[in-house]
Amino acid sequence: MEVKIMPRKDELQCLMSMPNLGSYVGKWIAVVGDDIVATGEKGSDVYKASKEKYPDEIPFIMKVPEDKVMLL
Amino acid sequence: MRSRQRRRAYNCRYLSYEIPPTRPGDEPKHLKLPLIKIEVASETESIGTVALIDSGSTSSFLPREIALDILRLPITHRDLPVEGAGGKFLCDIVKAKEITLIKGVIPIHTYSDWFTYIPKEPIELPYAVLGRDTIFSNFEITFRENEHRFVLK
Repeated sequence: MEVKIMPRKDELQCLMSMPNLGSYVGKWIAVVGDDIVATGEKGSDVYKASKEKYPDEIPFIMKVPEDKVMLL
Repeated sequence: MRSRQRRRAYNCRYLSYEIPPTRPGDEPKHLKLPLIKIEVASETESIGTVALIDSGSTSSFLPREIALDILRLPITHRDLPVEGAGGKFLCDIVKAKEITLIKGVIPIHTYSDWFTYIPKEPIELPYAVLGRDTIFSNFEITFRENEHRFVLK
């Protein structure tokens, strides 16, 4: 059986070059390649949407942090 | 003659972005965070996300949504009190099969059978946090705050 290995993408670099990233603040986003492919209020929904569109990719998802003081 | 092994340095940029103003007349805000890409794996799933490098945290944390709702990591301990700067809060501990630190597209370190805290409500983390029990144990980390960079060595 042939094992298909997907090349890794540098999603962080991709996010750094997105001028409109700040408009997603507080939302979960999924990134594949150079694009945001899903957004939403729940990480699990964004994960599912990303897996449906790109089943062979390891989904990259994150919540775009808000501008607030964080102290654990 | 003593041989010296040179350790590779990974020069990383902060993730920075502009948050547009919500009210007319307000200025946009600029966020700059020392985030690194990680891949977290359960027995059946893997996910890429980001983690904050936090020298002030003795332990590492994962957002609950990623740990339980997406990866369905097994909980090994429940309701442990954790002392934070803002007071005590409760956490569960989960076990991930692996967590890999990634610079660009290069995996630079993997932790296997990784136990990590997940805060319970009302604490909601927007990202994973790597504290002194993980990344600081394996790398010398220099923050160049004025350049919005950090270096792992």
